[in-house]
Amino acid sequence: MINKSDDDILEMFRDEATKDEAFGLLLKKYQERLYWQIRKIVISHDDTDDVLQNTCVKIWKGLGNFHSQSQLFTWLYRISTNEALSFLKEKQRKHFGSGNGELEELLLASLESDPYFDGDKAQLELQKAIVLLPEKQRLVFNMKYFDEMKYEEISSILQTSVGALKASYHHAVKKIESFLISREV
Amino acid sequence: MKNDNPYKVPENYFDNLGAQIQEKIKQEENKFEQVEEKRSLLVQLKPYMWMAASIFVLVFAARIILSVSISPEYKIASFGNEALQANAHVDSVEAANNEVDAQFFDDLKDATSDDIIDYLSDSDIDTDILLANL
Repeated sequence: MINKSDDDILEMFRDEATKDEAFGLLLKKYQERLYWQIRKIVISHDDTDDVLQNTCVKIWKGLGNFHSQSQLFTWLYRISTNEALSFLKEKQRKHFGSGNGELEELLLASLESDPYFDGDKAQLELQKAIVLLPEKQRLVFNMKYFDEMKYEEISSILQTSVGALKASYHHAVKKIESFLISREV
Repeated sequence: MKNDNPYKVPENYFDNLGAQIQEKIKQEENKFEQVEEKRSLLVQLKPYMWMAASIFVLVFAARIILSVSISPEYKIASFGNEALQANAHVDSVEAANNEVDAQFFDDLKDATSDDIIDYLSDSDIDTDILLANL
């Protein structure tokens, strides 16, 4: 059942009799990938759980109107990315009020206190370096380095040109290298 | 450096995730339905609320218009007219009575002695009034 194509799932979803079953199949197929996409942005597992649930509610509401001009997975990825970024902005606003507090501080705190981080010292330093990147570079680096996505896929998710993405990734790699060298990793 | 994912999730997290999400969606739908019910009740009541508001405005406007048209000056003027009419009525009654009295005494000039004696012998006549008019 899990091998159903996206088109089959969408067709089932548009039929009221099979709508719930279709959404269950969609979740089984994509929930892990969406989780990791969000987790790399918000860092903490608990925050990721909240954001993922809100993302899935939005997907449920919008899936009936989804048309296959773009790939379903691209659309899902875009919703989860936007939801995660909105969550971070809201968290920053709540934490710092109208002040100019740095989002990186919050992310570093989440990273250091996260009980579900299983990496060694070098991986922790790498994650710190990633957290300190500007938002766009962080997104691109995670998608390219960890998810091994093609620039074309990233381009359709982030709606940025391939050239700009390549430049962002290049800058991100340089900054991470500098950070790791400074930390003697 | 390996590009392995250093994060982990609680045990069996993904096993229950689908059910949790579908439960959350049901809760959201129930909330949405409750909001829709409230909204539909408001939509149903809206015409009646408009009707009540229109009646109130009409009554209020009518009261204002009436209070302006029946001004205090108008009320005083109309009261004066009524008083004049009442006075005129009293005057006309007195004039009529005087006319009857004059007629009576004119008729009395032509009366004979026998008529007077018969008249005076009538026990219903008040002699005091009669003597006062002689």
